[in-house]
Amino acid sequence: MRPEDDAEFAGLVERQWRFACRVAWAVLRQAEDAEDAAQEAFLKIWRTQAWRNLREERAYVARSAWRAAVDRLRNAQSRRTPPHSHAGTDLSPDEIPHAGLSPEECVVAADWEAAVHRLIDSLPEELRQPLALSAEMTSREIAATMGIAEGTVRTRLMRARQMLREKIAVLEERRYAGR
Amino acid sequence: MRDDERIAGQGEGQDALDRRIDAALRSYTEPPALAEPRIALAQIMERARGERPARQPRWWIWGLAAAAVCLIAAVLAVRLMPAPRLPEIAKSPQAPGVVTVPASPDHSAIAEARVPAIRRTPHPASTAGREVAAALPKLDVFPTPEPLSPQEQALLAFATNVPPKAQQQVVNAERHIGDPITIAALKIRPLDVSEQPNSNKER
Repeated sequence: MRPEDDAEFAGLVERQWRFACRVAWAVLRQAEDAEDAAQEAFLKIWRTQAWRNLREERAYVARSAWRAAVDRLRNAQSRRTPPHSHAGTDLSPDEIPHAGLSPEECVVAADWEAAVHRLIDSLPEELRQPLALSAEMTSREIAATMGIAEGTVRTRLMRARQMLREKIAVLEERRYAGR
Repeated sequence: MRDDERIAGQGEGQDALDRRIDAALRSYTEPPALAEPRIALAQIMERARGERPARQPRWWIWGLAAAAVCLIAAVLAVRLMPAPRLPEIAKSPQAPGVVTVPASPDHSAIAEARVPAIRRTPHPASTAGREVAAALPKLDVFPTPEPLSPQEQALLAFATNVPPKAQQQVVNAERHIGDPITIAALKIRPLDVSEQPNSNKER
């Protein structure tokens, strides 16, 4: 391997490391797992020497990181120890497991974002992943990353947001009813 | 409150809710703590150097293999292909007594060569001819060779025993075969009108 290859690959890692970690984090919701998945993605890129002629560097890294994260998630699910406790379950707001504070308590304590995070975690995985990735990427990029149609991504995003609004409305009602 | 005001208020509420959801979503996708890119790069390179990078695909090996397969297929095809069968007539044994005359422009030499050859050829009716026929391998040929008929024997004898004078005539005739054909002028005797009455009288 030539020294300039090392420099080129190092540049790619420095540019895209945080982005790859965010993509993996959106799937896994565990910092260590997300970093491991991102490392695996870059290792795969290194092995295949794909960084030499990358046209869409960001899209390629996103795809690699997402695949590594999904593989890791599947392995974890097959071992029945999911990386994040709420993924894949469609829980109602009052069914969210208590981890310190319940969602209601979070709302009451003005920790509104934490409550919403828990609600997002409770979304079905097919809706949660596009929603989480939508903070980093456009619908088109999400479609390319997940290997699905752009229209499907948009539909899932709409459904995810709608479900989230409904759950938040229930929380808000309980919050004001409790006052 | 009018309906449109209530709808507008709900719309504003929805927008505010969406903004809050977006804000929560941004914080949702931000990992709590990440390793610095340089540290991550060092870890990746450490793992990567422990492995050999993937080799470039050697297309020439595949090309060579494909060429070898094509060559083997061609050789097998040639070997397994049935040999071209000769026509049956070419396999048929020569009828006894028939003489093969080599092509030669000199007819007189042919004639001289024919005579001793014919004399050495055993007659089909003779015992020696039968022995030769029996020595020949039996082949599946059609028609079955038969001895010469008397007419053929006579023709053969005539052809082999042509007098030298006749041969010379044939040779001379073939020499002039390319000459323009001359036809003698017709000589028609004019009718004798005076003879007709006499012939009628004769009737």
